[in-house]
Amino acid sequence: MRIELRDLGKTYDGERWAVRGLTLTIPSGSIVGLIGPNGAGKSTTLRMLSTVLAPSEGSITFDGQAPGADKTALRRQIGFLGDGNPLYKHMSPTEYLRFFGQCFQLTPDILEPAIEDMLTTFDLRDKRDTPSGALSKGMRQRLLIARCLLHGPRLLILDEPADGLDPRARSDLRTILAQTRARGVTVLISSHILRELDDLCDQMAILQQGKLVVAGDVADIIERYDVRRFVYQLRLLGGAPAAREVLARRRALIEGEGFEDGCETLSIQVQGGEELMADILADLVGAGVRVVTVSRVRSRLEDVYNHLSEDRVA
Amino acid sequence: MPLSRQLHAASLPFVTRALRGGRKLRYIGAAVLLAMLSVVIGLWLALGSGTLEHELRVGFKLERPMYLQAQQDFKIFAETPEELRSLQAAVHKHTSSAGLRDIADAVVVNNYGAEMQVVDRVSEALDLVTRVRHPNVFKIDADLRDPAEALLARHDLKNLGMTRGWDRWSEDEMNAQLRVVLARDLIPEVTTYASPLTVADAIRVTGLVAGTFAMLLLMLFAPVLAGTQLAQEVHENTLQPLTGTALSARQLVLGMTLGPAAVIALLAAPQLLLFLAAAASVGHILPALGFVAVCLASGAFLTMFAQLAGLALGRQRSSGMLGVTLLALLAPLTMLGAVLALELPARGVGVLGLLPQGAASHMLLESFLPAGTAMRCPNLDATELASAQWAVTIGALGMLCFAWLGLRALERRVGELSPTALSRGEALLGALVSIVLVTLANPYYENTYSAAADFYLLNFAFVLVPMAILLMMRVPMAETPTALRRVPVGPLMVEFAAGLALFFAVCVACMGVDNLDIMNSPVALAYLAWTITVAGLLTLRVAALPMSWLAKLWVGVCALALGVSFVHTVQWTRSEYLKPADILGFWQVSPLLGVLQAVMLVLIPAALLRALRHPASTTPTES
Repeated sequence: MRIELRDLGKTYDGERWAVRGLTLTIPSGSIVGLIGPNGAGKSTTLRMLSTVLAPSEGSITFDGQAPGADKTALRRQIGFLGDGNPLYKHMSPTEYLRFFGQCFQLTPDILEPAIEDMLTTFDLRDKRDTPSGALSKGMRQRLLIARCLLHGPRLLILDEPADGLDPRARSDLRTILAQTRARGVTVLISSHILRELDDLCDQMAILQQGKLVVAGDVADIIERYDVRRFVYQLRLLGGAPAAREVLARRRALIEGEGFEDGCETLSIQVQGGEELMADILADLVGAGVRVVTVSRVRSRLEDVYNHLSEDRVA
Repeated sequence: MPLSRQLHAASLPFVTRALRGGRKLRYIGAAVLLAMLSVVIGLWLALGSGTLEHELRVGFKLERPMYLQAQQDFKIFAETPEELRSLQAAVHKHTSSAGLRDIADAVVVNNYGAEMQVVDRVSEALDLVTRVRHPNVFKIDADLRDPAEALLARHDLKNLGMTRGWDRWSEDEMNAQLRVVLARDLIPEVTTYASPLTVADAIRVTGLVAGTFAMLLLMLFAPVLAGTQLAQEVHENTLQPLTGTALSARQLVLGMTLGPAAVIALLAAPQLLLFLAAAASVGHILPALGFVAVCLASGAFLTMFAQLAGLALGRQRSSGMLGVTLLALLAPLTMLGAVLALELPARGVGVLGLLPQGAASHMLLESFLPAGTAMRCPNLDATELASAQWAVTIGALGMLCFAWLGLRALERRVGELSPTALSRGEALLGALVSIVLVTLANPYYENTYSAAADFYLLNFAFVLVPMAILLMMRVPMAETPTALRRVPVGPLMVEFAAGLALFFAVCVACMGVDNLDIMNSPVALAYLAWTITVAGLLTLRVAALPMSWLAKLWVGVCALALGVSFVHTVQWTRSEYLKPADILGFWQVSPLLGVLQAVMLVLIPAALLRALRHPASTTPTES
């Protein structure tokens, strides 16, 4: 589903605008990241896109068509997970999915197989009859996303879906979103955890104080703002002097040094892609440096965001 | 989409949720148990021979007290088989001719227990029979004179002429009792107590019990359940995802109503079946059907009202607290309605239209104990009974109208379709219905002392409540910081005043403009205007702006001042003898209080207006 926003705006009192002049195109089948500080207008924008909130000005078209007075038909094509949506504690995943499936007016012959599909996809089969209040946070989040995909929407809108999840759960979320995109679903996701959006989003849009600061293809934006940097943290058991020589030869900037859990740590900034980092690692090992771990510290998106918002924090 | 499919789409998810898992079977089990309980209670109440059942039957006027039965039916009740034997022996001894002569001559002494009971009863009967000799004291029925004389002659008591005891009953009652005494030949019946009600009466009582349960389920528990569930959805933020589904706002509201309604329907269905079966067999089926209709209409209104309360208060209060509050509000109204229906004063039949619990109770009783008979409210004539029926019918229609308005308000709030819960036209309709129901409850009676003021001033106080609620529904609500809220005070106050002007126009139509005696007192008019202004501003303040504890205290003070102002309005309307010095009523108590009253007359409306124009001043400061 392709979505176009034209001069979209929302005010709650006629004076202050939560969002204003937002013009954006979300290509069909893409994953778009919506980034911004608290109060930037992300949730308001997502709620308008999900049709639960009417805009004060501007327009939204879905595949070239504006939503009519009766939005129920359009909502069957949208799956929306708002910020902080809790579950019904006493309902099991099966009952919860069935409830929402019926709210989306799915007939039993479609609904029951869809429930089984979602329970399998989101690895909830073993907990199908467990009250939701007894599920872990990761399972609850998976159930919420399953609810959004149950009726086969063409547009998935997720507001801070990774909030409060542990790293394993966030990794699972990334896998799910990738699978969702593979099904041809357009995904619009907002998150503060930019690392999760990195390598996942095709497009991104940054909001500040209700206005769009930048939007477009992730690679183009990184290119535009010259944030072709990767930051890594190396943990070494030995050979730190040799490591510094290799890094200097490879023109990797050492941002910081430290000592952690019996290992020397080096934070380095690499001007290039992951291939360059792989070559550096091979050189380090070849020079006798005892490398314990190499992990990426900051995402490229985070660099862009920090660059754009350094003087404009809301 | 056809209406039936819309309703099905709305109800399916919520009814399925309410009856999921083992819940359906449990509710069915509970319904069967409740129905059995109704039958057991009904049979026990009607046919039980214990003291408690007897007292309850006497309380519900289904039976005369035991002492009255004993006197009027010339019986003696034994509690045990041994006592029964003793009483029978004593009767045999004291009802022979010699025994009767001893009683007549008061020579029976040192009697106790069974002996005493028999002697007392026979002595009373003998006293009654001898009154035939005193026609100036007791006008005996012609057909009883000869049998009485014959009885006295048979036992050689014909020279007995003294009366004993004292007149306790009417002549009709005395003749009735004499008839029984003569039929039993001065020999009292000794028996153990048993309920005088028949099987048909037992079915009636069972029907009443089942109907009472059904009424409680539909008009008390259904609103509480629906209100608390919606409050819980709001409190736990589970309502928001529902607004993004394929259900329209109206379907969502209907679904959230029908879910709890399904539970209540399961519990109430057997009760209603029992009730209707009893009414069809030994009662009156038309009032029974009317009872069901009133319960459904009133239940719909009360459910919508409770859900609106849940939606409004769910964010600040837990659902449990809201449930307790609703129960505390509705339970006393239910009891009040039951008392009203049982007693039904002639001038109070119209209240049945305003109090749905009263209307339902009245129709329940009409199904088995029609008013205007010896069993219930014998003082009501045919006109008053017809007025009661009209009041119930108009009241039910009014409740349906309010239920529809409640539905409109809910779907606008839930779906955020409009800043205000009701449109101007809908609020006007609500105002009209309120005015009709209040006027019906307290109509104008000519030729009574202070008829006019009793009519329109009292009704003004009543109609102020629904008008205030309707005004709240007209206040624009949005998710805006308090400091930035804008309340259209002027237009809303004009609407409020217009609604009350309509009320006064109806009053004038009922009683004539000449009887609008408030127009003769400028002071009363001024106080009335102040009352209306402050009532409107206070309503807007409560609806639109946050309430800190200090604000709640201030609102309480304003409400008190409203009461004082209304009392002054009534005083200045009804009295011709008040002087200018009495304008400030508290001046008579103390000049200082009088000054304070004057200050409050200015301060209160000014403060309320200021709060509404500058909402930022009402925002609680964050610590």
